[in-house]
Amino acid sequence: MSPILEFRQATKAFRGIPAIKNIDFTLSAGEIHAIVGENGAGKSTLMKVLAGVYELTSGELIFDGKPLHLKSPAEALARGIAMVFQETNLVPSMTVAQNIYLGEEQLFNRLRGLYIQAQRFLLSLNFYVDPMALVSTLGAGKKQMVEIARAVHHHARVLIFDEPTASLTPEEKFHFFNLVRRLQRDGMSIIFISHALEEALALSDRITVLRDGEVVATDSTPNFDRSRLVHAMVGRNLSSELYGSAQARKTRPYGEEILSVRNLSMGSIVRNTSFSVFSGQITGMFGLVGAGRTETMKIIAGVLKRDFFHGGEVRLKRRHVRYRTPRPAVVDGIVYVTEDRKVEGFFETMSIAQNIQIGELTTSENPLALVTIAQARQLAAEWTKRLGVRAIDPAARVIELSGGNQQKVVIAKSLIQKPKLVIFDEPTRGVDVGAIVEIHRFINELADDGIAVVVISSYLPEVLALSDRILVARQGRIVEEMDLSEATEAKIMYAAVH
Amino acid sequence: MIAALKRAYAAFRGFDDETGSAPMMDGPLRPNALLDAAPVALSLADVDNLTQHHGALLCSSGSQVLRLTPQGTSLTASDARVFEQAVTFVAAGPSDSLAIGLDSRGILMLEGPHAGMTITEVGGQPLRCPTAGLFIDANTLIVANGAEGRTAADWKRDLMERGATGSLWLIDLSALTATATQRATDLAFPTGLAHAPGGRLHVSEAWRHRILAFETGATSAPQPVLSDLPAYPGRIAPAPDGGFWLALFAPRNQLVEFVLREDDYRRRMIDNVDPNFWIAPALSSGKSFLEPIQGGARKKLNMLKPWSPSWSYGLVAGCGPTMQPLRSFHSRADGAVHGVTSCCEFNERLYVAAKGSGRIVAVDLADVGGRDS
Repeated sequence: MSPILEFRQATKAFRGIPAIKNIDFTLSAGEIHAIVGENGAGKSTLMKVLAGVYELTSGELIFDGKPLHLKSPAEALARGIAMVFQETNLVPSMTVAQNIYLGEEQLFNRLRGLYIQAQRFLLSLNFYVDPMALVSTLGAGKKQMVEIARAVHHHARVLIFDEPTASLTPEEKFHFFNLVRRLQRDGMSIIFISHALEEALALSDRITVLRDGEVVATDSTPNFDRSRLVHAMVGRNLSSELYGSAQARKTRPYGEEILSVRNLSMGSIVRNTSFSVFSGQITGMFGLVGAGRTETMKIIAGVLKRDFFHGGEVRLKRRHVRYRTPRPAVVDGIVYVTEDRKVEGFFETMSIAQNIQIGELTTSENPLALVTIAQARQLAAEWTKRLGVRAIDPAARVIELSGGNQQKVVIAKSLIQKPKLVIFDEPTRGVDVGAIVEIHRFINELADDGIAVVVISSYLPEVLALSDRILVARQGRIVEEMDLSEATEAKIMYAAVH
Repeated sequence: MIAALKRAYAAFRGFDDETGSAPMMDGPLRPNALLDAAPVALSLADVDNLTQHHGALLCSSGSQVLRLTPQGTSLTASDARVFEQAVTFVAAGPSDSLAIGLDSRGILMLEGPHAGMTITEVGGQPLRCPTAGLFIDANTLIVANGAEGRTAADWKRDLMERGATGSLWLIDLSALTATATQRATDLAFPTGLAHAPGGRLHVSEAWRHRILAFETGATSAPQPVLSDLPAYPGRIAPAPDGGFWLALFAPRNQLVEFVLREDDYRRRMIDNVDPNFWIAPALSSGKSFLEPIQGGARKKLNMLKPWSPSWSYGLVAGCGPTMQPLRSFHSRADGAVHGVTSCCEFNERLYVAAKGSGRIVAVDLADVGGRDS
């Protein structure tokens, strides 16, 4: 089969840090090509380049034998490249037909004609979806059908699915697979990004494995099996040098049980999960995107609410707690260091001192507590020194700092609250290597001081380097607990995808 | 307001409040199969309390007390002394003192300066349920009376009737007639006693799933040092490094927790059903198809699922000096070392007595990495 699309030495860097490096990738006409890799391996970046969301820093994209420079998703769609995201991009308050023909509205629209046209079109695809139904009333599978119909309507020749089955029921998955095969028979080329390795093995003609932004393996699917895929996904030498050998490290003994979570539930995201966290230890929590780790911890920290009925229970030092806002949780000693620091972590236009000061005000019993600028600066100076925040002045705005230093400010803002339990969610995401080492050292110091620490991470070497015990989450619940002595990257990944 | 509504709904439905769940076994209590992997040192029906005396290992079995002699990984029983009632505890103390508890009868001083003395009453009431004993010194014995007016063999009934009539007695043996002072009352079946650092005393309170710390000499209120255990705690044995071994004799599960809150149902069950088939914890299970959890639901390809719900279980927790669990040894639903009532560290081996399965297993602590690995 001739290639319809080709990346040659493609590199995309963000602020000088490459997310994908020298990628060579070909997609043949009428092929289903699966792309697998850990979180942060560069799958989505590569596909977003293809969908026109990002432009390449270097290298080239060849489409139909000609170089292609995409400036926007609209241009990509016009060229016949469409992407179906995990979270569908439909307008929930509009009908199916309106979504399919979105952007093609006339000055005066005749809805009846639109619905008839949509009905014919959907039937031609064998999609049994009511064109008059509001998108908000559709299930995940039907929503995907509408997305696909929209792509086909735009004469897409390359269709990219990003984690298409993550939100589908088994029955919907079955229909989805049939649909993908039918699209293939109709001559469409399909790129399929998935964490579910069985699905990649079952559906695709070829598989490409990405790791740390590079292609580590490309081969026909029959030449792969699960173990080869897992090994290709996780076997990285660079990271073992960076993070050291987990087995050589001595684990900390169990301390007092600080947190006990039983049958915690929140819709279909957190499903009847149970686990405990102990003081003086780092509990690592690994899972793929969508495993419900962040949501579980946000419930504990009072950011999200568990189900009102049958929502399970949370006990902090044997005491039942149910936080409806984060403040009482912070007062009780639970702090959550967010994964999305720019949105939830700090006030970017405020200074380092002000941000750290806000952390202290949260725990203050007097809501009208007044603090002098000198006090705030002193506090900031103390914490910036302790955490090694590299800034010229504590009065510098947080937005002016590097990612690593921003993260340190977020950590300082949380730790000033004198916690008993600290939850770090992706603590080194978007942080340079030097800052990673410092943040790791600081997390270890917290555990050595007897504080219970939870580290959520999608990066296996980080989980192995930090944790005394490892919890693995999948589909909204903790499915495996491992001691460091028995944990390996392959074992953890196996538990996370099975 | 919202909390009140939720409580009202929970009361109406009868579950989903915050007391109906059993704690999970994770962290230091994460399940393994170390008890099943350990060699069987001795098969002995009704084996119960293991203790060290005179540099030897003693154990009770039904109405006997036996001396156990290690030979490699196995034990040989000898010098059987037989009594009229079942032996409920064996306590060794200073000056070669040895006391035993006799079910429905009281305490008999077997050896030492007070040999031959019997204590059948405490506080004017008969001592029918002596579950544990501990020498403070050669003349002072502290005794746990599991439940007032009940025998130790009737423990399951006490649990299902939600008994909390246990008590702790300080017995002065130095007088001609022993005198007893009540140290604590309203305990929910105290089953284990051990000396704790700082002159304190650890008491396991089975039905409240916790370990309490008492000041031996003072009358201050006890402090829980370990609570919300996933199984019913039994005897506590000291470890040479200052920590403890805690035997947990039966597992808690959600169904039993539910039944314990359903008074009418429980009453009818107690009145009409053979105690062997109650929805209640047990020292051994899986012996009859009449048991409430049927084998069919717990098996796959005729193999018992190790994680399936079970009325019986084998569990020993290794705890630090503050009674925090550090590690544990398990025999899961498909195991054969269930109903662990006692354990004793002796010659660098941990001997575990599983009354339910009628065997003593010897865990080589060097092989499994010690008590806190």
